[in-house]
Amino acid sequence: MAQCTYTADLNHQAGGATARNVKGPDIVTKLAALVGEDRVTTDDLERELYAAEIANLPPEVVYVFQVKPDIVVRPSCTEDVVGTVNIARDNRVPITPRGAGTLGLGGSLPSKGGIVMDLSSMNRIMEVDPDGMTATVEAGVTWEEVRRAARSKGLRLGAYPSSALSATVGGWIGGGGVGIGSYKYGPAADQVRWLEVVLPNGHLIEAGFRGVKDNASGYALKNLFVGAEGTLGIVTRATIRLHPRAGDVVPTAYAFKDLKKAAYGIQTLTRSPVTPYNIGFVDGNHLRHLEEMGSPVPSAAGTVVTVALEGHSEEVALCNRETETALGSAGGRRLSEEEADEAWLSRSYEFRVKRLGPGLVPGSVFVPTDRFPEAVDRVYEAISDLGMKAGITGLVADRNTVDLLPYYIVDDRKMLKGLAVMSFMKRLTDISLSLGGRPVGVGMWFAQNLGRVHGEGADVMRAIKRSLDPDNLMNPGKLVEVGTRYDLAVPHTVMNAGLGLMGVLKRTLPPDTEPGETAGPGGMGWRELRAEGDEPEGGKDPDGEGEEGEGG
Amino acid sequence: MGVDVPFAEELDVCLRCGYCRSVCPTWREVGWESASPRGRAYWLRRIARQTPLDRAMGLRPEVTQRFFEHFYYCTMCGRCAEVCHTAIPLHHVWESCREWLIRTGWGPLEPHVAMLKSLATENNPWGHPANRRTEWMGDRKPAATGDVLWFVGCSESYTQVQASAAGAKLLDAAGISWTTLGNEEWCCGNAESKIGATEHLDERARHNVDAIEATGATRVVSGCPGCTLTLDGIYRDRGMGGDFEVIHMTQLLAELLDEGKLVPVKKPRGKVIWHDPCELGRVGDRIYGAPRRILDAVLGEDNWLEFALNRDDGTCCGGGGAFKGVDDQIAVRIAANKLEEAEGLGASVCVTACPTCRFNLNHGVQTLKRERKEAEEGAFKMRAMDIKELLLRSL
Repeated sequence: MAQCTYTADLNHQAGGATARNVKGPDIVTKLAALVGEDRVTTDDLERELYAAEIANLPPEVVYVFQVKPDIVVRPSCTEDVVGTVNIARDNRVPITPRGAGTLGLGGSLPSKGGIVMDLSSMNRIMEVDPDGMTATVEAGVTWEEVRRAARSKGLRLGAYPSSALSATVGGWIGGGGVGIGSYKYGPAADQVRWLEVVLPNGHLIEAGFRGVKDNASGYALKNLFVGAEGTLGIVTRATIRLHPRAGDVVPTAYAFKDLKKAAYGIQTLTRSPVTPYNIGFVDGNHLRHLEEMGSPVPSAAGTVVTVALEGHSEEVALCNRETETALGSAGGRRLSEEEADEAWLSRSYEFRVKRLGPGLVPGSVFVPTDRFPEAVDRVYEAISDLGMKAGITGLVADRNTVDLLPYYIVDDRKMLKGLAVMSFMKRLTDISLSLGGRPVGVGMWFAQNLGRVHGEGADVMRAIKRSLDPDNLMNPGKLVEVGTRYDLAVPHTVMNAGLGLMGVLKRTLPPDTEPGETAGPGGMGWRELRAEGDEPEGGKDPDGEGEEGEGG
Repeated sequence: MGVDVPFAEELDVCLRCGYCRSVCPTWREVGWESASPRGRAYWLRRIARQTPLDRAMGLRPEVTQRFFEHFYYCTMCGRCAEVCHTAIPLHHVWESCREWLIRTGWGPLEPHVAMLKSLATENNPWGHPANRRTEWMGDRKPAATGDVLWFVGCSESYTQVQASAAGAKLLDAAGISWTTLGNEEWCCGNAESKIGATEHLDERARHNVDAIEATGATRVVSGCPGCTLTLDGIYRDRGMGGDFEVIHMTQLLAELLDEGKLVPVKKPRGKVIWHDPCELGRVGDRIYGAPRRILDAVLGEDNWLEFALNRDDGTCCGGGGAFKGVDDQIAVRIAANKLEEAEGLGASVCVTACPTCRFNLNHGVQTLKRERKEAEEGAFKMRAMDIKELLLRSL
C-alpha cells in the first residue's frame, strides 16, 4: 500500500506554458530507464494510432488540435505513473492519460501533443474480497473483467458502462457518467469506494476508504476525480463495491407505438416504488436500422423498452408486476422472453448500426424524466431539421434522469457530410440545457460548454484545476479549457458559433435518409454479448450433437 | 486515391470500440495498439482511404516495418471477430491482408521462410523428410481402403505422435477399418493460408483432393482442426473442395461411444479441464458438443472442469496463426496464463483436441515447471494431452 505523501503546495509557481513537439532524446531516455525500453515509444505509426479514439473525427480537427502525441508510455505499475508524471513535470510536457479510448469526446487525445499514457497494461486484479464485498483493481482492468471476477466469488458488480467489454475502470471513473445497472446501483461514482491517484505534482494520494463509505465531513475528495477526465490526476487503482448476487438478471421487454408513448410509460415506472436493475430503450428509427441490416426486431414495434430485473426472487416478482402495470398503462405490449433476451443481450452492441453509415456519431445528454416526452419531440425536430439518418437509444439513469443517447448515421467518407457531425452535438446540448438537463461528457470537443452547464461553478472548477495543476500539464485542453494547437484562445462563443455554422452547412446538403444508400454487406449476424452473468447454462450446440456436458 | 486494401468496405465499419483489443491474447502480452486488432484495422483503413488532407498534413499512411511485423502478432484465434461490435469478419480480414502483405512484397517474415521452404520440398512445415511421414505408425500397415480415410496431418505425423498413436489404437479397438494417404499425404496448406503465402495452396489442395478421391473414401477424418478446416472450408472457398465429407476425430469418437463400439471402463487419474481449440470451435464449425460427450463418457458428467470462458468465448492457447515461430516467448506465455487459470480451478490435466494446442500447452507446462522450480515456488502439477490419449486410458 502506497503511503499518502500529498502535501498541498499552493505556492507552486504558476506556469501555463507547455512544451510542444517533444523530440528531445533526453526525456525518452529517462522514460525508458524508468518504465523499460519496451514500454515507451516515439514510433510514428504508434503515435498515429494513439491520435484516434472511438469516434471518427472530422479530419480538419488536426488543424486545430495537436492530437498526435510525441511519446506514448505504457506504465506497468503505480510507481511508473509517479515517475512519468515527475519526468513530464520537470520537462514541462503535457500528459494525457488514456484507458480504452471509448468515450469519444477527445478526452483521451492530446490537445497539444506531449505524452499519452496508456494505462491499459495496468490490468491486475489485486483482490476480490468476498467478505468485505469489494474488488481492488488497477486502473487498466476492464469493467467486464471486474464483473467476471465478482461473479466468480458469487457477487455482482453493480453498474458498468455499456462498453464494459473494453472500457477500463480508470476510464469510466474519469468520464463519470452512468451505465447499465445505474438505475439500481448508481452512477460511476457510486461503484467506487476508494481511489489511488497520482497528482500532477507527482504525489500519490488515497481518496475515499476501502472499507466504508465516504459521505461524511470533508470535501468529497474521491468524487473530485470521478468525471474529472484525467485533468486533476491519474487514477491508478480503485476499490470497487460489489453486491450480493441472487441470480441472473431477468430481462423483460415492452413494445410501444413510439418513443413518446414509451416516455410516458417510463415516467410512470420511475414513480412506482420499485427499483428495476436497468431501464433501456431504443426507438423506431433504431429498430428500422436493425431491420435494414437484417437483424431480428419485434414485429409492429415503434419503440422497445427493456426493463431488466434483479435481486431476491420476491423482489423480482414484485418489480415485474409493477413494471407491467406501469408500462401497460401507457400502451406497452409485453414482448416474449426470447425478444426480451435479444434486447438485453444487445445492450453493448447498439452501435452495430454503424454498418449502415459507415460512420456513426453518438451523443449523450441528460434530460429530466418529467421533461422526457418533450425532449423526444425536440430531438426528432433536430433530426428532421438537419436531415439526418438518426436513431435514439438511451437508458434511465435514476428516477429523475434520462440519459438520451441519440446517434447519427453518416457516410464519413464524404467530407462535407463528415464536417457537419458536430452541429448535431450542439443541438443536443442546447435541447438538454433548455429542458433543465445537461450534456454528459465534455472532453476536448465540448469544453467550451463548461460555463453554460455549470455557470459560476465552472470558475470554481478552474480554480481547483489551477491549484492542483498549476503548470497545466495534466490533460490540458479538456473539460475546463479549450486547448488548441497553437495556444490560440478560442472564445466559447466562437466555438459554438462555428458548430452552429456547421449545422447551417449540413442543412444545405441533401438529407441522409435514403435507406441502404451506402450500406456495406449487411445481414451478417452480430455476435451476442454474454456479459452480465447470463452465460448460457447449456451453451450452444451448433454441431447439433445432443447433450452438452457441464464441467463441475 | 487510397490503396487497394482487402475488405476496405468492412474496415470502414469499424467503430474502434476496442472490444477486439481487450480479448486479444497477443495484445495483452505486447500492449501496443499496433499489435491489437483495433490498431491494425484502423491503420489498414487509413491506408485504404487516404484523403487530400492526409497529403496536406504531410501524411501518407502506409505499411511500415513495425506494422508488418505486428500484423503477425496474432494467433488467428478469431475472438476479435466473435466480439466485434459491428460484426466485421476480422478473421478473414487478417487472412486476406496477410496475403496482400506478401503479395505486395512485405513478406514473408524470416521465421516463415524456413516453414515455406520445408513445405515446398518436404510437404510439411517442420523440416521433416517427406518420406518419414508414416514412421509414427511403426509396423502398423493400414488397409488400402477403409471405412474412413484418416488425414493425419503434419503435427500428428511428426511431432504429436502420442496423439496419433492413441487415435490408431482407438480406431482399431472400435473395429473401424481405416486408411491414410501414407507418404502421399501433403500438408493441407493451413500454414500457408495463415502466413498468407498462398501461391501453391491450390496445387496442394488438388493433390490432396485427388489422392483422397483415388482411395474412394467418402468420409475423411482428422485429429487436427486445422486440417479439417482447410480440407473442408478453405478448399471449398477456393473452389477446390472434394467429393467427400470431412469430420474431426472427436465427432467420429463420440459416434463410436454412442454406438457402444468404444466402452470406457476405467477413469483416468487427474482432474481434467477442457480447452476448446479455436479452429475446432469458433473459427471452424463450432464443434463444442462432440468433445464434451467424450469427456462425459470417460469421466462422467459434472466430473470434469470448464474454463470460465469456453466455447465461442474460449481463450486461445497461443499456438496458432503461425505465430509461435514469430515470438515463441509470447506464444508460450499465453499458454502459461491459460494453464495457471486451469491450476486455479483445481485441474491437473488440460485436455484438448488439436495437435497445435497440445504442443504449445505442453510447452507452457514445461515453462511453468521450470519457472516454479527456479523461483522455488513448489511444483507445477499439470499435464496437457489430446482427448484421444485420455479416451484410450479409459479403455
